[in-house]
Amino acid sequence: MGALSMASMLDPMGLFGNGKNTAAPLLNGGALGQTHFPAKVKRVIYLFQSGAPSQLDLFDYKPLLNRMNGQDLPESVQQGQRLTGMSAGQASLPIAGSVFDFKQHGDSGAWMSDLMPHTSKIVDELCFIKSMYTEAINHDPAVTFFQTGSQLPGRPSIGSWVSYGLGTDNKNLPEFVVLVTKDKFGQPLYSRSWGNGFLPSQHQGVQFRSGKDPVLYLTNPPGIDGTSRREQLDHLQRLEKLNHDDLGDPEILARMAQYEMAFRMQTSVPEIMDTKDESDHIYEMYGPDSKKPGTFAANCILARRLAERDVKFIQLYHQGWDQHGNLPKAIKVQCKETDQATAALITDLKQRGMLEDTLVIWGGEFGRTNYSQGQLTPESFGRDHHPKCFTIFMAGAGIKKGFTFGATDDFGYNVVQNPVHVHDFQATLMHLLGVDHERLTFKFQGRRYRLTDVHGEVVKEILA
Amino acid sequence: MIPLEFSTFIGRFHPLLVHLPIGFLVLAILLEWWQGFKKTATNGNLIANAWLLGGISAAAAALCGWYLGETGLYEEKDLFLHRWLGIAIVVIAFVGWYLKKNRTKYPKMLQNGFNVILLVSLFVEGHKGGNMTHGDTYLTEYAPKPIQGLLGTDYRNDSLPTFGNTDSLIVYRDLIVPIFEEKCFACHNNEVQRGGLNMAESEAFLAGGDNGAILLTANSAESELFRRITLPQKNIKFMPPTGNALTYDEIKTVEWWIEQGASFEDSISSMTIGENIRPVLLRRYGIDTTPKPWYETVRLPVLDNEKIRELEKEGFQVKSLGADNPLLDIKYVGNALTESKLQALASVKDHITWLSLARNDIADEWLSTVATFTNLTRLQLEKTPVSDKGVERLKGLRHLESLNLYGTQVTDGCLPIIQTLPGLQRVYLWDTQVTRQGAQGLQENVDGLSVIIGDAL
Repeated sequence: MGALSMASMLDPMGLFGNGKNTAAPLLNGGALGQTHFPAKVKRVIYLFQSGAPSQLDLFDYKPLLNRMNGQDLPESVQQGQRLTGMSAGQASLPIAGSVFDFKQHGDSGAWMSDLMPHTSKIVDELCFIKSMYTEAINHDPAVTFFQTGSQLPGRPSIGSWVSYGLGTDNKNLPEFVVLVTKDKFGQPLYSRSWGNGFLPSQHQGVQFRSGKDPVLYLTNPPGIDGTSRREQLDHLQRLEKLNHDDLGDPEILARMAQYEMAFRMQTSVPEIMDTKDESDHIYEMYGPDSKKPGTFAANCILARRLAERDVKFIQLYHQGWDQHGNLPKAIKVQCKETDQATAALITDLKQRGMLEDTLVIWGGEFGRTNYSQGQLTPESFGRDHHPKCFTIFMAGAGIKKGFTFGATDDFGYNVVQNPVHVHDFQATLMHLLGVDHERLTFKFQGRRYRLTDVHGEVVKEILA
Repeated sequence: MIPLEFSTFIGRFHPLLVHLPIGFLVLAILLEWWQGFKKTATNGNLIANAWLLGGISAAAAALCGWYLGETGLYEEKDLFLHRWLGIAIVVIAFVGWYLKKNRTKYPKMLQNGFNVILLVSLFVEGHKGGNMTHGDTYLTEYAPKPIQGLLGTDYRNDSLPTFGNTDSLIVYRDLIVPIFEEKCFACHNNEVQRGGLNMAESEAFLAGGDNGAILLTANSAESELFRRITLPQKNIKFMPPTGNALTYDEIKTVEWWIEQGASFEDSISSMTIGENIRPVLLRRYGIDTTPKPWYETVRLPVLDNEKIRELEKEGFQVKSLGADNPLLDIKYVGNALTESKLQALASVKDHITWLSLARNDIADEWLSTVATFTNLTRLQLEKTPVSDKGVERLKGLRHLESLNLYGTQVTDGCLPIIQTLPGLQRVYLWDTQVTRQGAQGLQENVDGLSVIIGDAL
């Protein structure tokens, strides 16, 4: 501790990271000041499908699985790769063909099952990556890996890196907002998925809740008005500055930045949540759920409203895709909740001209197996976790439209063409935002960290 | 073709016969020197006979060689020296036979000098012949590095040319000539014109060969040149006949050049670069021809920070496009935009490439100021009261790629003006009074323009 105190006296700001990084954020610019190269994407809406949707029943059409339905998965395909404890002990791994009808859609001829009739209509706007793979085989490590670049908790999430590196385009709202579909269960979703890790805490995602108070403790207590609140904050600022001069704890500055943000959000958030100016036509587009606060559809409208106000990173979470059993029924429910609103969001952004500089991402944390977990019957089956391949899609600025990248083998088990690792995905996302993923770093505990750790290659082939 | 085929048959005995004179003549000289060293004499005319045999076999080899050379499978520049030096050796060998038969008549100096001349000729001739058969690099390719250095040969070189400013490349001079130089010019030049064809001069090239023109502009399939380089390689008409066929990339490049008019002067920027040729140009020549957005091609000095601060005071959010691009992305985020605030942007007008005045109460006249921002590529006017009159003022924006007019007052009346914006790629007209038919008409009228009108409200 002695050495630590000594160090902090010499350079109080240097103890936790780069000195200048811990100061209150600039109006814009963030730690980088400016992007490394022109940003094709100014904001991201990430529709995270938590629990891992089955790519084999939605996008990755594998007729061979139907022909071999019920047969044991050949060892030559499985190659002794890791399975979860849930199906590793099964006497057999019966191949399960999808029970859903696949068709090609649009001019691009993208394959989609009939589970997503609305999204099927806009495939010419989408860029599918069918060769995603990850290292984690269970939910929390996999979500953490996707969101922070490491399976172990404690690193900053993508949105936090973006907030830290690029700063804000609207000082009245946080740069990173999180919306979680309410009343969805299944695998736990920890708030560290939008945590700031070792970055200053004003860069953490701010979760907007679905109830009366989207952001808790934002309203003034009874009897306090805006002016006295302002005055109180000004006094507090001065005290905390003295405190910071004395202790040098960067979290003091972060806390003050958050107080100030909360003050500004007292007017900006009610304006966002007040959706009276949305026409009926828009609600129809997003589907019947869209008028019920907290649903995925309502969150999609909210996401668009936040994007219109230049919030940089808007992360939606929709849980419930973890279909180990009873997949055919359960996945229908999931698709009904998400399909129309996803398609509507992309269409709506397009007609407003926002796909010029907004990127929409849809995907889960890993894929699902081509064999049935548990009993395979003509009506029902389940699919276990499968990190070796899965599909995500994107739409919007900087990427090719009506394009499919990568491919899996005929069994839908291994990637055979253009594999895209989670770090590659993250590197590409940062590239689109104008950031060289190798040059946005933060020094913490003696080493420089970055979102992609020491990996990641930009997937140039999908860039427009 | 029978005579040619028979002479080719004879010609192919050349490699068999050619080693005999080498053996005989070298043996003869070694024997002579051995005798001189040992001071003994061999029986009778052994040495002279060896010379005679050398001369006869050299003549046979030269005869076959002559026919082999006539087959056209060898490049003229290599052939010339090999052919005539070979014939010279025949003569030398017979003269040598005469000299050796009358050893005592002529001085030792002459005898030995003659030996040396023959040896040198043989080495040069043998080496030339080897190079023609196996390639120029055959002997030295695997030589140790220091020896390669001494010989001035170094085969590490990656011969891909690199080009600075790719826009000024002349396709024929910089891309096509290097291919022809390597594979065609050797037999079709000012001196040698096999088949009556001279490719080294553009006029003669256009005139063609014995059977007429070989280039049909913009029609590679019918061009004799292209046909000859893409025949099955076993076909007797296949070019080049030396086995040094054009690679796939080279064929594609030549095809593209012919399709684009087979011009001798046009630069790469004046040619259409299709999706087929783009990867070839990138891989083979390192020329990146992917179309770049306008803002990546403009080169301007970095702006003074003071100017940017002033604009920020007026209520503009100002960002540079990136660390390596000083062009500006500007959005009005202040309270009430006025014309004089907008005019403040004139001080940086060349730098502005993205501009958003969306959701502000702006008047049509103000857009005259915007029209002077020559490097503007993206303009956002959505949710403003701009009407057709405002759009009319944007006429001069030559590089505008994206125009957002959603939620404005524009009608079908603005479509003819939009049609005249030369660089426009996307226009957003949702939630305006523009009709579906109007939008469809615009979409059909202009190639490469997407008209986004969205769902009807």
